[in-house]
Amino acid sequence: MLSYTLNRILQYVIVLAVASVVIFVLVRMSPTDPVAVILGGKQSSDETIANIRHEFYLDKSMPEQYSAWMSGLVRGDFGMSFKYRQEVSGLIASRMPVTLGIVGLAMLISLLVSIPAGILMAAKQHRWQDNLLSVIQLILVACPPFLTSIIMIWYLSVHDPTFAFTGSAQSPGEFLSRISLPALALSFAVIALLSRVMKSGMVEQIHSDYYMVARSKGMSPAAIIMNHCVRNAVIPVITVLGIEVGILLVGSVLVESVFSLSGIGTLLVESVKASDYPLIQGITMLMVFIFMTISTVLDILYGVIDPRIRLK
Amino acid sequence: MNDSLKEKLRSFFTVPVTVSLAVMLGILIIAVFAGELAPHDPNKIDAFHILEPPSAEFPLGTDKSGRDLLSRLFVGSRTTMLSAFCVVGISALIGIPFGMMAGYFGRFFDRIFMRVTDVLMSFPSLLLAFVLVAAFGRGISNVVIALGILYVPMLARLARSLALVEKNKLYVEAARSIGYSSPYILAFEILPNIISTLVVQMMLDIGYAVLDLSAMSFLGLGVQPPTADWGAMLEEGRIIIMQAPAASLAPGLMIIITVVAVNIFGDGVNAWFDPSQRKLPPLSRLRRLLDKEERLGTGDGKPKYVLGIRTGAAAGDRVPIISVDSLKVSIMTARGVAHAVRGADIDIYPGEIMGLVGESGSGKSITAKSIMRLNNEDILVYGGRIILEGEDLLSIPEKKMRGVRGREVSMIFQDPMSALDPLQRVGKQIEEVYILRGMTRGEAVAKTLDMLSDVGINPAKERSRAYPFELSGGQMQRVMIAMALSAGSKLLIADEPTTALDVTVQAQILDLIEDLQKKYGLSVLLITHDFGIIAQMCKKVSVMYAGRIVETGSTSDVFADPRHPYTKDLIDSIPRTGKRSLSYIPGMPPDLRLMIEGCPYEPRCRFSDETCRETAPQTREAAEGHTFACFKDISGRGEGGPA
Amino acid sequence: MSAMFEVKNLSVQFPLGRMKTPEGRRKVVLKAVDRLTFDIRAGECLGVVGESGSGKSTIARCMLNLLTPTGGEIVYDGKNIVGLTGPDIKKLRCELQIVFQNPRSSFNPKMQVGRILSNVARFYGMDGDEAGKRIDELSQLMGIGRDITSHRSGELSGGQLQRLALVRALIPSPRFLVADEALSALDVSVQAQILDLFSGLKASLGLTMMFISHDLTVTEYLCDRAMVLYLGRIMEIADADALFADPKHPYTRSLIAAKPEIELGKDRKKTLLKGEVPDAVNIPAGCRFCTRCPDAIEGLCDTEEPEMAEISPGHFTACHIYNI
Repeated sequence: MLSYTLNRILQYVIVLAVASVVIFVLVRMSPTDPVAVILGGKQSSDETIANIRHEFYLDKSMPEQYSAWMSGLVRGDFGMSFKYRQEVSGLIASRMPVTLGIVGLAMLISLLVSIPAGILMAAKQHRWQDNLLSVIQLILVACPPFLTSIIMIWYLSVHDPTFAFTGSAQSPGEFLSRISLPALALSFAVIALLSRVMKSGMVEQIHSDYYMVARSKGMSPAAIIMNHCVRNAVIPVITVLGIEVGILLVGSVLVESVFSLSGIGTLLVESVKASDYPLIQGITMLMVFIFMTISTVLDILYGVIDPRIRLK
Repeated sequence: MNDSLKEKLRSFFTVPVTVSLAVMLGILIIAVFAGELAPHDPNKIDAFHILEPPSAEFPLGTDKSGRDLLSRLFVGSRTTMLSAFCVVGISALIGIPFGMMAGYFGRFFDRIFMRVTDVLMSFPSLLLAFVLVAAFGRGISNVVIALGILYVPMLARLARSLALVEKNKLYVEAARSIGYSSPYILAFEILPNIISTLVVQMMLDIGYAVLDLSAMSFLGLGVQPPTADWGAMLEEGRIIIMQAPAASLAPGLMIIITVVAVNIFGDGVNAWFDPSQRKLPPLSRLRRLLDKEERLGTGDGKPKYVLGIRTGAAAGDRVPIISVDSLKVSIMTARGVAHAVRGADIDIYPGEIMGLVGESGSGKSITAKSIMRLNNEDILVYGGRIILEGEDLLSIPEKKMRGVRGREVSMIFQDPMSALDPLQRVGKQIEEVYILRGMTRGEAVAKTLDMLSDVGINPAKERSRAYPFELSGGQMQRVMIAMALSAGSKLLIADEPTTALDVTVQAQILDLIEDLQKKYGLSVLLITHDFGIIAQMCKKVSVMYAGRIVETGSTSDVFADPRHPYTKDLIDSIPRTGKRSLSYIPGMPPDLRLMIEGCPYEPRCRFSDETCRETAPQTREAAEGHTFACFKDISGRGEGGPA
Repeated sequence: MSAMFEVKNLSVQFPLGRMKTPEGRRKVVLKAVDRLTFDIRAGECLGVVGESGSGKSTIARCMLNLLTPTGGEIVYDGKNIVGLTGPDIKKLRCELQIVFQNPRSSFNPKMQVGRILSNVARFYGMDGDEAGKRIDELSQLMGIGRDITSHRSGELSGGQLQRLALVRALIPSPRFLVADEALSALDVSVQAQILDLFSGLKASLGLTMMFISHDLTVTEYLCDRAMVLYLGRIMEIADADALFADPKHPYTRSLIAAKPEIELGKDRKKTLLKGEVPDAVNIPAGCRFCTRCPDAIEGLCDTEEPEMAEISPGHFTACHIYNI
């Protein structure tokens, strides 16, 4: 167990480091001249340009710029945005709550819906409950979050024009009502994914040898499913949860723009369009960090749950 | 066109597959012929027809620049679909070869592969595409390349794990032993076996590509104005959603339809390749099929199934603990209905070990499972009775049957290693049975420890806290026996309990069963293909062939004077110490899908004639307690030889 | 008879990294085969008997150069074939062939068996006509009709497939054939058929064979000599008749006693072994069989590993009982 955990953590650190290099190199490959971005297209004197280059470390070599960035990162200093002329960390911090709220709520909704749905579909495989839920699952997968959001807004505009979903929230209750629809729209795809994994995991358990042996002991299917199958089937679900977080994080950008919410997602897209290196680097690194951390934690959790790993 | 090909095509074109295929073809046609099908120039700005509602000239209306929405939709379909195919094509061309090589060659190559894909996969969802677009600029071609790279790791890892599984199979070892080169093996041995799974995944990826491409274009990173694709149209339509809902709904609907169709088709293809996933016709139809065949009969009054003679009355008026009477079981398989058990009669008496011997396909395992009513959903018990203490187990409700299982009749199976929940300690899984029957925790634990030491697991307390993977095959089988006897059942059915064990361990387990039988006065139905085990353990034996019991009697009688040719031939063909000549049975067992008029052993039997082919032999008595189903009297005939 | 194979100190070890053992965390190595030394004489059938963990399958793969041993030599016709590469290997492959345990998995499920066979023939240098003739000839010898070759493995029975496996192995007219549990996956009545085929091969083709099995009676029937393996080492090796008539090693005796006998009324010596085959990772000190041996001598068997010694002419065993 210890070696498994250490192994995972080592992998985590190495991958994060390599990812940071990849991000850095890729962003710097952009053909756009950063100085032009900073100046916002205005003409300037050579002196100003030189000053700007110095201020933004652009006159240093690549490895130096990289180490400057990394050392700043660990201190919490993500650099200065070219476009907004503000601290990247500040920009991110002000927008985090919205995105985290949406992502968190979407995860909650998906867990509450998918796990029971997956179990039900497996227990009633090939019967009407399974068929109905499978059809719903199919449609959910095919509805991208931005489409769902547009339809929601359209519906609201037609039926309840007073529903406010833009601007900043004044209270937690308002916050919740702001993010509930985007979260719901975002959750569709992951509900489909999670319930599918849950179902196939359960089906595998129901067809396993130990299931039949448990029946031969006189146990009822419900008892076997509750006491044995669910626990076994949850293992692949844990792995998928990590992927789900990734999908939600990035997918949030698709609902934020439609609902005119200022979250990290919209900030990222803006920064890509504006070639704002520090901002792109900062947000990307942060998302990779969150994603990898959650994945690694889930992996370690998996090692705790499965005795074959825990005890070897 | 031969039958099996026709059958294969028929099973492929189910309703969902056909409909989704038609839809996909429709979309492809639109995409390919977009230029010809579009009534107007999709990019033509027309100031006179801004935001018009749907009309004859503009079937979907126009957008805020006066462009015809239908034309934009058609041309947009081409852009999206072409891009989606490119994305999947790129990821397949890169991912599949590297993945396969990583799985096959392993070691260094694999390690590098895993590290690289780890890094690629550390970017959640579309993030990598964003960064690549930041690096190389916006535009549909850059997005296509970016997504292509994004999709590589998943497909490559799939290819890797598939290749890894195949590499360990014997046909690959055989290819290596012949001397084929690695590239040859990868391309011509392994690839054909994994390509179907990969193609299904690629199809599903086309769906995901459509979604991701639309997302990128929606955000303005993909196609650049004025080019149309579904995502871009959604973005443009969003702003004018109130005035012209069609501008958003149309491309939205196209996305949904395409992705749903691709997924339905992909699932259908998957099920077709993997018959175990195919939904089989319901049992009710099987029952109707069987009734029809039964009723058809031969028309001349001859019974189609072997009728049994109760041996109970002859065997000294003892009452059997369980009586299987004319059991008929059929299985619904992908290739038709197999009649696995065709009228089997077995009586098991209290306090003795009875053997049921037969080869694979004889129906012995299904008979055993039928007694416990543990058959899968594709198996139908449609005839006969199983009498336990006066009650027909086949007619009682499932809830009542649960009370029988474990308490009156229990079973142990062939493969002990996969027989328990791998995540729970062994002891708990035995205690669970006690607790479900109302005992307290403490009582259950105590009884479990007792049972465990009874079956020779010592120290019981320590071992009961072990997980299944920590125990060896022999120990697991002991645990299974403990679990089976924990509720005090009087009949133990042992289905090939030692086949998966080493011969020295087998001896231990058989010894254990004998001891427990004496100690608890159990009845045991021991199912095996090994005559040596029968000779050693069983007082009585029934021989099963092609779903029928062909001979029953005490072991000594049956061995000394086998009356059914199959029994005799089988015993003769087993190599024994000191025996120099070897006889064997030519031919193969019959196809269980066919209804056989006469004796099923007839084609392979040295003594058979016309009668044997036309009429099913009735069971008759050779001596008290010794019955067999054959017309001939082969007693005393010499040993057979190779045909 | 000259030795076709001289195997000297063959070892195959798999390092498993660091694991928890009763002695604490240490580098753990799985010794599948441990310093094996034996000969195979031209024209003989050598039986290899063992249970799980004995290393018998590992040896088979080493003999055919499918697995590279970590130590020792395999001398074939005077030359060490361990670590051979290139054109030398190709020649070797013609002469050394193998038949596997599960006939169904040993054929590519997507290819027609006929094509699999003709591919093999062509690979070994035969042109179309030659290949067809050779396959026909062998099919007849193995008792299968030509019409079977248009099927895929999924449509054929175990017995048919094992016959086809033999045809495939015999195409290049090999000198040596390994049968790795070739009967185990077959039905009893079919086992006798295939056993008969092997018997015929020995007689008519003079093939040298290594017959791996866990079934003693089959081994005794078919093989000239036999060796008994336990946890990667040879416990006993002798002429097959002698081995079964008068087994010297306690393990051999236990194996023979454990097999259920068909002869009724035969007095079964109940020398049941305790315990199970230990993990190949935790090989006991001294004689590896001592933990289960009914005749183990305390102080000797658990400290010193016995050497192979000739007890009677041609009958070797590694057991301290005979060295006192």
